Amino acid sequence: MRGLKRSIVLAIALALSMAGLCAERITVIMPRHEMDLKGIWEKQTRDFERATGIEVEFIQMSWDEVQTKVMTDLAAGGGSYDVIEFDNGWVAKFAAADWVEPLDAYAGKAYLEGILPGLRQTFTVKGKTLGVAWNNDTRFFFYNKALLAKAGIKAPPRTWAEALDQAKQLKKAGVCEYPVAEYWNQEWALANSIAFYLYSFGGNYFDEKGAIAIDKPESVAALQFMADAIRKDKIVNPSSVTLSQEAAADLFYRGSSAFFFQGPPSTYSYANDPSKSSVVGQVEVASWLPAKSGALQATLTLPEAFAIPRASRNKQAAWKYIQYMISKEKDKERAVQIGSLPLFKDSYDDPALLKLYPYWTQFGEQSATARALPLVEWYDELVQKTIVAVQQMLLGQKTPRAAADELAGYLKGKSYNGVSLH
Amino acid sequence: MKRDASGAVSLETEGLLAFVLLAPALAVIAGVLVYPMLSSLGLSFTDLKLTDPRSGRFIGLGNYGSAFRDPLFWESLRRTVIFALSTVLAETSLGVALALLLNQRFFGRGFVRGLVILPWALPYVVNGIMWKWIFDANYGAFNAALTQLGIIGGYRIWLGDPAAAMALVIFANVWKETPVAILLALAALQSIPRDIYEAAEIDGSGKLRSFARITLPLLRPIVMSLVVIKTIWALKEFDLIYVMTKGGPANGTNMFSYYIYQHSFQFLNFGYGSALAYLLTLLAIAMSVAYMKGLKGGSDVEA
Amino acid sequence: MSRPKARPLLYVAVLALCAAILAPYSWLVISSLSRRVELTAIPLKWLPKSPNLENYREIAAGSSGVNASLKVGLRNSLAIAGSSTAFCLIAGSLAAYVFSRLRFRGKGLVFSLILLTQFMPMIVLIIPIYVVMGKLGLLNTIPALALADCAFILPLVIWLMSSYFESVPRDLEEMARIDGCSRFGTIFRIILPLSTPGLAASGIFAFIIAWNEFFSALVLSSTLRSKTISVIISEYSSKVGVDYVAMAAAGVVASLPPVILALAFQKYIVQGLTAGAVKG
Repeated sequence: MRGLKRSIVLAIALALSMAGLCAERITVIMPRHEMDLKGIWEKQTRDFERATGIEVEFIQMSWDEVQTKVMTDLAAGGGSYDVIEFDNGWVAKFAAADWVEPLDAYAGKAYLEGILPGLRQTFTVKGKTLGVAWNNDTRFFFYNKALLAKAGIKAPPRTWAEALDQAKQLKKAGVCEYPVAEYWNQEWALANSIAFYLYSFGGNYFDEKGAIAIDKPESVAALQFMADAIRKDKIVNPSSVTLSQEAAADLFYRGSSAFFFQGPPSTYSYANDPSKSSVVGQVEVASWLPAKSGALQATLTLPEAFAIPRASRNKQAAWKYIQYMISKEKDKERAVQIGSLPLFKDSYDDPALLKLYPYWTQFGEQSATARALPLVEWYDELVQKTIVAVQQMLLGQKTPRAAADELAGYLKGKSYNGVSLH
Repeated sequence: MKRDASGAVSLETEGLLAFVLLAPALAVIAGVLVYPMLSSLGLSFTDLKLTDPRSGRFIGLGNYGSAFRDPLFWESLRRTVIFALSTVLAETSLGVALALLLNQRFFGRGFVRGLVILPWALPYVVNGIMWKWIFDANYGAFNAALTQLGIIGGYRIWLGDPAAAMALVIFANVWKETPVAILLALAALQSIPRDIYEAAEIDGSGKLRSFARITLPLLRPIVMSLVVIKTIWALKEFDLIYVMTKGGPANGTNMFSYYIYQHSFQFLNFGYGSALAYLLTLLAIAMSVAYMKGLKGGSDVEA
Repeated sequence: MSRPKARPLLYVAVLALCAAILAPYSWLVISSLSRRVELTAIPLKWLPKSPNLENYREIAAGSSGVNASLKVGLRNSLAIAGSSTAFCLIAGSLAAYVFSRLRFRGKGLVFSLILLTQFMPMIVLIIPIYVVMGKLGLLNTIPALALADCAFILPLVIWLMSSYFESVPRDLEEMARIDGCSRFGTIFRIILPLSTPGLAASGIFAFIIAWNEFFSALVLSSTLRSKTISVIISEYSSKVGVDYVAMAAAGVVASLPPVILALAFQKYIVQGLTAGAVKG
């Protein structure tokens, strides 16, 4: 009986769609933007529905859950979603598995060229654009100027040597027991922190030509700095090995730490929200980042994008959604309402936005040094190996040299850009 | 019903009746699980890696071989077994002891029995986050309580040491899952006919003797069930690790299920992940068989 | 069964038990009524200045956001857990009867196969299940989630009820059968009533497993049409961390139905056997 009922329902549905009474439907899945406390993405999605008549099944979940669902669906052959979350860490993997549709034909050059170059590059593989960014998650250097002033420090550090000195000064003056709080818990974010330190010391996992660089002096120096900071100089809060990003940020908002080297863009507004922070009015955005030397400054950009799976049956409608949501007007609306960083080049010159967020000038200065994580399809495994080795280093179970050698051993022979790492 | 000379029902009729009674349960179990189990068994013999379109070739026992050669495999196995043995021991003994307690008459007994469910009723995610927060190095209630009571001098980083983290994960698991043992043991205790105790008392048996000679043996089937079920659950434990420690610190709590999750869902190594899953299955079966052999004993007590 | 001398000890033990259960839970409740600023103060103040009811208000009456969707999750979870429990108790008891009372060729094998399904980790099975449900058009529906739960819970219920049936003396049934009662009759008139504690326990057991189930619910549901409460609670985590206060409030709300259920049904676990049934 069930089969009969279903056939009847199907027949009716078919008839209705023939009569053109069924609207087009797409399914979108994305994580919540960490600053979207007002539900603006959902509101804009409903605006899209009204403007185009295309129905949207809008699925929002936490980032981990979105990852599970998207991976499951694509692994099972796809078809459930028309617009998916496309994280910068997945690009190489999805490209290798050929899971997403190249978007150049849909987008056109003019549209793509308006987007920030860093964001474009991250989602372009072998010349094909695979995703359009919706979250410009670039990290920035924040510091607590009130705490610095108490210790007699006038400007934030420009080099790591200065950073170490200033931290020691803060300790000595009794202003902060641990001037730095890092998110060094054994999870994905630790790898971000490692990449940041590596870059700012002039090191890396490997270079473009495929030569392994993790065991070279610059990289080992970066690891050594991390290990010393927490074990020898004691300027990093020892609980950092258990802290997530939010927990590390908490210490900053509490006034326990004075430097936040790689904070998300929302840090400034949170720090000035009295229900969340005890340091309202004390936080400042630096115009530079500390590095081994000025030229090596680097900050991480960890954007997320929209992509269309190859298995989607509504690609045209899906593109219409992407184009609508990632447009200058909608982007500006979000910037004004929740303070999310714009995705288009021109927006950073917009006087209305600069009035609302004057510190975006500093954001712009820091963004000039933005770099992405290594784009390889085995990045997950690299992350896993790295965070375990570095945690062992931070807990004193391994020396930085040993950790670097272990990672170099792991990297040997892995393929990158058609070359075998050597 | 056909009966032969001794009064026993013939096997044929029993078979049909058995089939009819089993049908609903079997239909659901087989319907939902047979295909997935066979499919993943098949996958475990291939080198399927979703990011490599050319993968999926048959490689026989290749994955199983790689697993045995991988030191991380053995490490996570070791940790999992430690975790399983500790939690099962703690939960079963605590469970039986507390069930005995709740079997006594006292004021408010009904309320306490209902209350006992509370830890288990908490969703896994909430349980994990709650304990993570309680043991938080900078703001945790545990640190605060110990410091304010003067037991320790300053806040400690409980989850920052691999061994301590493992102990705390075990603790969080025991807190959450002991109610299961209490519940099941209590029901078993309640099912023991009171007359047996009365008869024993009449025969002059003391409390302790009754306990050892009557209660314990009658509890044996349920204790056995408990131990097996809990071992299987402990070996499969995933949510708690995922939320509390993500396998850290320094991989100190990376247990087998989490290891499988990483390979299947993060690295997209489905062939290898399936092989690992079957190895876990074999381990679970081995442990269960060992328990059953060890715990098997007489079950019927002469009335 | 209590000696006057042991009474105080008894009560001490009971109080200790209650404290062990309630201490972390009360902290959860208090946290849900605090603000993050208060929770991250050192030294920690144990009670907030004034209760923060914002999250509870949103849960009860909100219209958008995760808090508002909690109600729907509660409804879905109740439907799924309720139907799974009912089905598993019925089908499971019948199956348990087979294993504890009937004989037939291959009984041991069937029993072992049923149990075998318990040993495999869900993580690896979930993708084929997803594929099949997708092909049947059952994705994101309550029946699909209930079905998946049943498949995992049934073996446990069967195992448990078999154990309980084992402790029901066979003499009672023999006497009833000699008196002319049919097999089905013995099941419903003798065995089941005597196993009420076991049924109650297995029922609560099944309900809570279904209530807590997370991973399969996550994969098989995508919108509020079928999202369970455990999935919705996981949404309080973001890329950068956890909104602890809101999650604590949701956790408190999510734990209430099973506890209320347990409080209501715990008296059925209390039954002693009917006195005098086995005499003679």
